[in-house]
Amino acid sequence: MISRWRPTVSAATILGLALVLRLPALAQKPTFSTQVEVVRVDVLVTENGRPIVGLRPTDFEILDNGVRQQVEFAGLEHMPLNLILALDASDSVAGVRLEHLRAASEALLDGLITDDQAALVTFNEMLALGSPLTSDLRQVRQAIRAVAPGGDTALIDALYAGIALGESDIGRGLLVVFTDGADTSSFLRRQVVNDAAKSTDVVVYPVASGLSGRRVTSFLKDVADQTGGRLFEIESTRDAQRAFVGILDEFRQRYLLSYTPRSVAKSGWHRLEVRVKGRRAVVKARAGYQAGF
Amino acid sequence: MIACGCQQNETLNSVAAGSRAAAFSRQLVLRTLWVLAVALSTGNAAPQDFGAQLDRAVVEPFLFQRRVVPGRTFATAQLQSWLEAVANHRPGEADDCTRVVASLAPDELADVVAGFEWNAVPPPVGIARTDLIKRAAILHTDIAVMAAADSPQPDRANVSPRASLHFGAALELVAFLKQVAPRGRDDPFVLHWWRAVAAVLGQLRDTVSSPYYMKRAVSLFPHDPEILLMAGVLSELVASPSIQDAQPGFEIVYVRRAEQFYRDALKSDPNAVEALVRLGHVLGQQQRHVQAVSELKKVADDAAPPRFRYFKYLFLGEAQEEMNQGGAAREAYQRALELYPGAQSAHLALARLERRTGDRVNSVAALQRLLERPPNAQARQDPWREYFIAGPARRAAEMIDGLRKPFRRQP
Repeated sequence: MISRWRPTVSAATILGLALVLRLPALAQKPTFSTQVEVVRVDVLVTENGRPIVGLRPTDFEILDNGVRQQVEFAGLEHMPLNLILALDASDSVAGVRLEHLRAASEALLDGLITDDQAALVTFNEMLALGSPLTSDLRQVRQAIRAVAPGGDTALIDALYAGIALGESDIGRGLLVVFTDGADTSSFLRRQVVNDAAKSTDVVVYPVASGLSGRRVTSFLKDVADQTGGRLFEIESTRDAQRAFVGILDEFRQRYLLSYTPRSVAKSGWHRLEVRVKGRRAVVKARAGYQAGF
Repeated sequence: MIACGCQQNETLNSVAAGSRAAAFSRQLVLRTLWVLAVALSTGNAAPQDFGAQLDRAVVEPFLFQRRVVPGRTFATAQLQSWLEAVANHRPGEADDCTRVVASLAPDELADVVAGFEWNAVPPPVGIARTDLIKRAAILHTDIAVMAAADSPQPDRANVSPRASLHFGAALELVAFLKQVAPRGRDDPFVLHWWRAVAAVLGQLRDTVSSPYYMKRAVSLFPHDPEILLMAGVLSELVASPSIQDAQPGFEIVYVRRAEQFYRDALKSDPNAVEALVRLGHVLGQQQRHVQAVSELKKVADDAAPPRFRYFKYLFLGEAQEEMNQGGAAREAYQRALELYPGAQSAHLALARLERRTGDRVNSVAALQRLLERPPNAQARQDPWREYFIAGPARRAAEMIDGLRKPFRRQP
């Protein structure tokens, strides 16, 4: 039985966005500026390629702009997950590829547990919210079945929207974005997504099919790295299910660390280094975060 | 009825060497276009060579003029068959004539065009030489347009090698018009053809053949605002992320080219609203935001159609956002949304602005207002989706039809 942790940390970034998408009235609330009170860092710790479990806060060392911080919390699988599934629904996924994608998405949803939520965003040249964040996964499954491919690919716009949606509710944000084509119609530029990736708690896992060697993969890898996620490159959509399930498995092995920044600037880019004391562990975490405006 | 007869060869020693050189150079243009189109459309071209190849495509054919071999032979039966097709083609229709000519291999086509230019067989009786050339240009343009419509490339709308080949053949015939007519360059058909073909390629968002055509078009008509505008839009398209993803490295070069084309277009026609709006956009892309704002503010709302007013406010907002003028930028985006309430680009711009200023609640709210709208073309009308199609290119079919009209036989 997995125990549940309810967040009590006062991260203004998170709380300020709570439920905006589900409760539109909240969007009308007065403006406030983002101030980093508590920093959340999602980390994957492996040793010899295998995740390490059972670590405590005192096992971690976090350097914020080179200044050692006091880790206050280290949770594993304890916080409800907000899965944002962003699927390419352009011309190129029509036919059997769509079937692969549907099966992969269903398998991903099968891995969610009570209190986890999911949302579906599809994109061709238009972004569409197939399902808002909900714990009613039937709604999401229904939206997956209704996906009808056609049109161009606005990948950059979709990544931006996916990150924003992942931030819109309390919970650990996981953005799984699938594409099998380069961007052909986005309005936003790559840099906007890179900037968003630097200042988000959402962990991005792109899945790119048949795009090996294309410039778009290095962009997707950068976005993933900035958030502590990982790019999955697959040969064809046949491998999508394995990738999707693998992402969730990996995500479940991640620790959620938190700390209150001390003795560091209140604004600007903060470089993060996360280590495990006394072990030769590999730690995958976001490269840093953007504080203040 | 068109029929291709058996092949006969005829030696033409009487043609002046200078004419041979010119004709042979045209064959090389065709072949180079073909090779270029095949190489780029199949992805065989090395990305770093993209710009260089486009330039070589223009220059190289003329470097080989000295290779002309005296005693060149032609397949006259094939040429005869081609001439019959030219004379009998019904402009704009997929008829037997288009089918016969479309079946020619690149080398055969190059030989036929060269043979025609060399007068290798007598032309059909009753059609003026210049009309015959125009009809031939229309026939090849029709084949190219039909082939382009079938280009099966979901990610890139570049025309197929066959379309490129026949646009190339038409181009050579239009160039030949200048040689045979005393006022060749001044023949309105020539400008009309260049504008129409540029419009077709622009509508298809082609980036393989277009740079070559636009470069030629601009060199022929350096003061035509429509040609300059389409050249600018093509340059912007090549610089866009969708193209740079496949062929990176020349973004800034093409943005600067676009700027120059728009400036030249505005010199020729100071009231060219579209060129002014696009100039503002490319200035913004070069981080020259103060200049961008200045140019965009020159766009008079009452003189600009809604889509250009939308672009004005969208790009104005972007420039002001970069200048940390959040309030002005927000107002500009909202003006844009008043014109197109479902436009994804303006909603995303507003979401980006709010996030930048630290207001993530309003950022998500802006996104939500977009996502609440049903994802269909009517509810989500967004001029940005066709930004890389120039105004004239949106009238491509009409322009091509205008080209054909004088050559349609009355029933």
